[in-house]
Amino acid sequence: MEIKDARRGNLPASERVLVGVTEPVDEFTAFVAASSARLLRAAWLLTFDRDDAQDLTQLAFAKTFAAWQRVRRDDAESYARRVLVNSYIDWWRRAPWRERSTAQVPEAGVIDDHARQTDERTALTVALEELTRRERTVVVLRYYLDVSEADVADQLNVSAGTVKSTASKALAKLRRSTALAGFQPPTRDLALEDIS
Amino acid sequence: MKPDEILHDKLESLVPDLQLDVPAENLIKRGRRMLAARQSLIASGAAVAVAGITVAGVALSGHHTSTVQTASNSGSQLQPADLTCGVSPQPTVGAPAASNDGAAATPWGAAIQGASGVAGTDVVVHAFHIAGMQCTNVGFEFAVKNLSTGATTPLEATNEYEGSDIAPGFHGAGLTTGPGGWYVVGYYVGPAAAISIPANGQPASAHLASWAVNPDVKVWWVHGTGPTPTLGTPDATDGSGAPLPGGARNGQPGVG
Repeated sequence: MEIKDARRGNLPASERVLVGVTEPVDEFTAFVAASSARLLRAAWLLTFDRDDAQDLTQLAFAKTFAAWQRVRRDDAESYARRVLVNSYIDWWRRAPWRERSTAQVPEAGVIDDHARQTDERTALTVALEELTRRERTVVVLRYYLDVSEADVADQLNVSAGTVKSTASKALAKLRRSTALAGFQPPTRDLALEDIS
Repeated sequence: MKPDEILHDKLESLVPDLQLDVPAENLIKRGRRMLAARQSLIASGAAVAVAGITVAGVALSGHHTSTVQTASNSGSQLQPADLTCGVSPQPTVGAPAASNDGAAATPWGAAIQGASGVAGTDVVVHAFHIAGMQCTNVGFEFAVKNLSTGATTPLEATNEYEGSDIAPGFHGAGLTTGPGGWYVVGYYVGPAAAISIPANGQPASAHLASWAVNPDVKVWWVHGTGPTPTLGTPDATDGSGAPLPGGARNGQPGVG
């Protein structure tokens, strides 16, 4: 006799008991718990919107579950990250009305009484908004999630050279951004001029 | 501090306090729907491929003979699309509009409600009409209802996706967690009077209820506490205690 589970296919009961029901669901739940904060925060940096970040992250997790049997033994977070960033790029490409005006500064993460720090965050936010989607994606993957150049290239399906040049352009924009012009950070250590 | 770390920290400082606002169970359900939709597309593709080479007029008694138009019969003639369901799927006469999302679907027939095994709660099951799958028209959504507040907690939505949804035997059995412990849910097609399933080697009797639209379809559930168990193979018996078929591989009688 064979039991069907709509989630995981038609597995013999003996196999299902061992690997088909409990383990994948528990594994996936643990995976979500371990990686959701990181992916959600990255999604927010891509979209600057809580709801859009939720949508992207939930979509990435759902698609990861749909592929769980295939990716569970590999790097599941890499798969989820790939879904997330490609959905972000595709999503925005197909729905240009989602673009936001850079005149509207998104909410800052932390309310800080220190005006300079707040100004710095605001300036960086505006500078990031001035990047192209692909540039911002490379910045978030490379410098926020600490993904290697080779893996960024793999996830975006571009060459490592393209990642390098895109990152270089993005960082140059961040350095030269009018949003940051005239802003004098308190110490050189905090300045974006250091980033190359 | 390295330049990379500086930018990382600056980016980190921008991000507000965020938490995923749905539980993993919801993501699993959504992923399952994606899987079901994918299977549906695969089945549809297979149906078209089969229909393209099927000789008109071939139909087996009691077998599903739904029709689709294909490039080879793009005129008025329709041909049998698929003979692999084994058993005709659940008829949809009188069914509500289809929705593949169990939680959002209009219930098909009266909801089933019975003791969950947890004080103050019942299990509630409603059937939903599925579109786009060749051999499956019905799925079942299981939830736990708090009898004091009326609030329901979804447990599991399940449906067949390969072979007939109402072939004799077990379908869509699954283990999940919910209020008060773990639950095994599924449905059985046939004259079952009792269903049991070994949980950690000990037989556990299932709650069993017929679906009003098709009384041959029995939804069943088992509740337990503690860590999710290792399950054995469920058994069904009729009113006299005689064993009933559990099902067989797809494409054979007792699909599922």
